Amino acid sequence: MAGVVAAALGAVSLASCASEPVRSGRVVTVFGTLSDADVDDFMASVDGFESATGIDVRYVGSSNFEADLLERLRRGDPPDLALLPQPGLLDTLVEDGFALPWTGELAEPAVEGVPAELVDLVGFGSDVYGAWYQLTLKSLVWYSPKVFALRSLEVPTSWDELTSLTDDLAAGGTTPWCIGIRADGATGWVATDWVEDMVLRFAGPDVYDGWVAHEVPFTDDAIVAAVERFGAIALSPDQVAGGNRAAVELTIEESARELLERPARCVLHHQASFLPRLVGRSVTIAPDGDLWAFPMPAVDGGEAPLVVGGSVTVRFSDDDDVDQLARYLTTADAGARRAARGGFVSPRTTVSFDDYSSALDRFVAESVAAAEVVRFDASDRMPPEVGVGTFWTGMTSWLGGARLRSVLVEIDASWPVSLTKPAIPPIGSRGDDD
Amino acid sequence: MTEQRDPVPSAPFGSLPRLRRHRMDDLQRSLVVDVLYERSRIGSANTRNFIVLSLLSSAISSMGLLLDSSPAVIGAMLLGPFITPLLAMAGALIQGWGRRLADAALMVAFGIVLSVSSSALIGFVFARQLDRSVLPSLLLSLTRPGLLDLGIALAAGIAAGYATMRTEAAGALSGVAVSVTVEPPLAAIGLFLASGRGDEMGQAALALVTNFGALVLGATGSLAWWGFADRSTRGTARQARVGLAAWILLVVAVAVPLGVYSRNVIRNTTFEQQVAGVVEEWDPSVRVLSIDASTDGRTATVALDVTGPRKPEPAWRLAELLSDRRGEAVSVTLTFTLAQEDRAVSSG
Repeated sequence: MAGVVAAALGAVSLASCASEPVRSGRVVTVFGTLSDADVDDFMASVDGFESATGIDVRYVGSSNFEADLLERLRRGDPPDLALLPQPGLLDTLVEDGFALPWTGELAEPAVEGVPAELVDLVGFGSDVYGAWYQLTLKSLVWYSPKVFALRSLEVPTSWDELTSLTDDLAAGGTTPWCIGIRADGATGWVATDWVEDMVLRFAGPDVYDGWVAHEVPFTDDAIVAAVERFGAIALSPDQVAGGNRAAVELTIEESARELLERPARCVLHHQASFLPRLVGRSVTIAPDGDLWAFPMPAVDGGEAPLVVGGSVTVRFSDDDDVDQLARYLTTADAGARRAARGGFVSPRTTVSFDDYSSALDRFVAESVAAAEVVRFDASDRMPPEVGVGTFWTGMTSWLGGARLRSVLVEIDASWPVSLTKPAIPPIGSRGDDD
Repeated sequence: MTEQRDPVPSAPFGSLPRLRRHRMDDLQRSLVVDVLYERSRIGSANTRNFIVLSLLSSAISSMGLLLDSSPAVIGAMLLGPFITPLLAMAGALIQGWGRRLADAALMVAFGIVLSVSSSALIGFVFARQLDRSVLPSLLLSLTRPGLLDLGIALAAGIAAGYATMRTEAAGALSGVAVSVTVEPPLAAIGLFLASGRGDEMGQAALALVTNFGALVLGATGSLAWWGFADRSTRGTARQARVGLAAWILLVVAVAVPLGVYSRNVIRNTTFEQQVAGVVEEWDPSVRVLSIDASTDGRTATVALDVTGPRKPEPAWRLAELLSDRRGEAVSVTLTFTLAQEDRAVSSG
């Protein structure tokens, strides 16, 4: 009898000199999570660098990024650079001595144009160990402007307006939300994104920061209330297309596409700014196009607090060629070239709003710049065991029928005790300081 | 002294039959025309046979495809009744006989409807099975028509025309039928229709058009070469030219996508062999269950299903190795199944 355990893993290896198999011999490898069109865009954005320096850039991506990166490092086979989507993982890489500091000539470019709050997330002692490369906006609610116009719906500007809108839709027989959290090797992150938005809105940034640092446990009333608030939507049969089991049955891509079906299966969808990559077909992203988004509203209708994600360039090799690419990725030129291809927002003020070719990217960049409260994705700041581990799996179990208290107790219990880094300082606290 | 020479043969291959152009006499032509066109018209005495054989051959072919049984499919090919109306179409194209062309085409269309209906009925009964399982290899092959299929059909059409003109070769018709008959694609269309597999149905339809088109074109050339054309009974020359030109265009239109497809199949097959070799280097402990590899010459995609006693090397390393070898971007999706063996014994 054969017992089987099956796993699906994705990987991509991309060399920019596809039509020229003979390389110069100077190759810098970048390891990350990008796939499909994002890889092509990244490679296209470094074309100029390759031409100017003669250095070949090779991008290698993996859907099993965290595990593969740690395995490479422990085997003594590090990539030259990594585009790290989780600052929480950077703690481990620094503690274990794998990540190299951006010192000397790299120190200045690493932080140039980056908000101090973001720099804090990659700072350890007096050094920074990563340079911010990309930013995504998580707190978005997607909708079809055409459907809104047809039904004379207004974009809500407060939590009450949002609730009123969804209740009216449900009462009229229209399912308000599409939710799906299944993803190869990463099921659950959509649910944690929802919870993070609830915590930031209803418990406030201080509790959010304490929660990220585990000074506020998952079993705290504020966190429980935030999760239950998400559950009031996700577990309500008349609020979610497909009913209260849909969230755990649908993939992230399937639920995103439901918004575009004719007739649409729902009217609203909570997803990050990279949603266009998920729908898998060409759609017009514009205020009067097929899809557009508004920030998840603040409770009182003021400026919406925003949860953002992003990636950081981390060095693992001390080499001139590697340093040249690392430095280039921090430049306004690299940001502008990548921004010109769409689907990219730089965290650096050195990249002008005019450099963004897509209306969505410009909207995201302007929204983040104007926001009074911005926090980095909590699950990506937490230790990986929790942030991309028990938090994901716990929310999935709960949506699948497990008891909430038990799930939250288990998440708290999984928090590693060995981490010695003090609480990560808050970001985007401009509003708090006032 | 007189030198003796070998006698010079009158012809280098004098003892072999020559494929010289043969002109039919009027009686022969009249007999062929009567047989072809009397049998290729709905309402003729042959109609009942045509209906019964269309339904049965398609049903047998459908079941044979589902069972992956070559004997059953070949048997269905032998029963298939399409060869006569297709040859009638070829003759009508040469002669510019519009009415006869329409009659024969109508009969072919009628047969297509009957055959697809018959196979769809079989498909509806077994549709669920077809949905869940991997396609049987015979059925799968019908979703991958290539330029070689067109070549086979063209050659078979020539043979069919030749056999029609030369009564001593008439026995070859069975062989022609086996080579190219349209029954398997028709059966496949019905099965895919019943199981809602639109893409595969489109490919099977392409295979059908290929066989129809090339068979008729081959037969047209063959009939013309061996004397079927006859000015005294021909329609207008313009009709004949237009008809033939349209048919040639049809075959060329089919040949282009088939040529592209054939090139891709050959390229991807070579790539899959390369992947198999690189997998050995990547992780010798794994056993490959399946490889699905394709490339457009710039970006390659590999879906690899492997099993082994332990977790394999990471997928990114395989992607990197392949990218090194090929000098192009490679995307790998790896599915791994851990092979565990539990042994048990009971002494009774």
